[in-house]
Amino acid sequence: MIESAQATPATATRFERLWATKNKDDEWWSSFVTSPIAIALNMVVVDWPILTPNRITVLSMLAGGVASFLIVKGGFYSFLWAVFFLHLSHIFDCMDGQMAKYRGISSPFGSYFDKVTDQLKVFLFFGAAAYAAYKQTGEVTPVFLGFIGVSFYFIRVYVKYLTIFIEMENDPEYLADCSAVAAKQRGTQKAHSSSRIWNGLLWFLGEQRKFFLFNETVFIFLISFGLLFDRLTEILWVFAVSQVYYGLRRSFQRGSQIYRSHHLDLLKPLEK
Amino acid sequence: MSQPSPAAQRRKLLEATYQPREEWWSRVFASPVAHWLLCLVADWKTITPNRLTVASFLLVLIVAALILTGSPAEIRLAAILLQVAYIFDCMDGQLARYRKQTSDLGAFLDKSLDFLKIAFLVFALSMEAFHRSQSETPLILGFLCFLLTCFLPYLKLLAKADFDIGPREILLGRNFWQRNIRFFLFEEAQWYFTITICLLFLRADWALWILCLGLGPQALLEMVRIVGLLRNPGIDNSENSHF
Repeated sequence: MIESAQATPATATRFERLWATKNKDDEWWSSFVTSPIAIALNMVVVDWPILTPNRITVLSMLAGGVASFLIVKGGFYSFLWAVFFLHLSHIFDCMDGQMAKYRGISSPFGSYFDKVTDQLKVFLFFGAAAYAAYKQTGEVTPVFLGFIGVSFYFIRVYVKYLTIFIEMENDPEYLADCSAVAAKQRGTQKAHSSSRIWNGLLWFLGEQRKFFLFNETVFIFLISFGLLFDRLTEILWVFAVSQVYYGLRRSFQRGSQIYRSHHLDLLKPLEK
Repeated sequence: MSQPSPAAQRRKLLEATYQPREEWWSRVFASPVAHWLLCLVADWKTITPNRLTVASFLLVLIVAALILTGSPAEIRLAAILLQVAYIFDCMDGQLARYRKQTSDLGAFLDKSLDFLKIAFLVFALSMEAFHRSQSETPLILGFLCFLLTCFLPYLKLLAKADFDIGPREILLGRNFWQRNIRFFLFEEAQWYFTITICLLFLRADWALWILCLGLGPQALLEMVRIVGLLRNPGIDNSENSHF
């Protein structure tokens, strides 16, 4: 949900205002790598009038396109550049949201555009990785794995929206209720204070559990790893197996949620 | 003859709840056949709407396996079984309405399995075309095709769930074309029709080409429409927001 920067006092520095836009529930690799880099970059460019959040989304998509092209092209130096562009694409992806919240101009159009390009990128990256692995090994298995992984990743996302859609037909206030419950849960969580090194370390270790959620930011890491260490087929296996697991698990969770629901016990925050 | 026979009563009830799907292949073939089959089996206790949905999914898995074997006879058998699976898919909704058993779980199961079905089919088609031609084109086409078939429903649901933008509306449209646009759109029934015809000719690659070329413009148009509506919040969308 949109948390505007107005919550921070007007006297806050640019850094504090930008830091306030960082999601507390950031995904794994972005939580301590790409999101901080994005904040560092935003420190410089956030007030440039030529850059708008939607333009940065377009840049992110372009960087993703370049990365996929380099993966398909093959060769060690292409792969090295591909890793760079993969990360650039993801950093831009973090920057657009931060900039929109910082400037207080979050819009439905921007949110839609961001979500659609995110899906497209996952598809592009794994399509390219599967193709590169196929070229390297001459076998069809990587393509098969890419297919399985992408279809189960898509179903994982799809059942989330399907659930919202079905629940909204019963109760138009469903989404508002969900975000109220989510806000309440967030309020009861203990606030992290990263002022001390020990707390910072504990936070960092705690964040590592998110690796096993196998979502977009883990994909960026996985593909980069596969490209740099020539382990594309192996990471495609990891991708396929993890997505089949999550695809099936989320489908069963959503199915039983809908089955049990009589509009009272279903107000769980929605994850994909 | 004071009391009509149970079969006649069932037929009457079924006709009252009969809602054919709107795509043309479904309207002229699958929905009528499903209706006719239901006139025979609608009261069998072992057949429930959810079981039909799952049976349809399992049949599609068998179809995908048959396509992957690659022998001509089995591919032609797969083409026919695919239509049987689609008829089952049409039967479940009609049966649920007839028995007044429509449920959220049924809708969820139906939609999410539809999604997986087309993914498995496209995968089998591109593998078959790949083995036949030994070139990479079918693999790339298959991936593209898969993206399009999965992306269209995703686009629609995302727009509806997050932004309350309904699909381009059909029954409430102002003129004949708007009311009946779905009859001509390239949707699920026509995907299955295309795949069946191409498989009968043993040309999985044709199916992939037709799906890509048919769906690409449709996905683009859908995105342009949604983006247009999001950028002009002043437009009155109330007419479109109910299905």
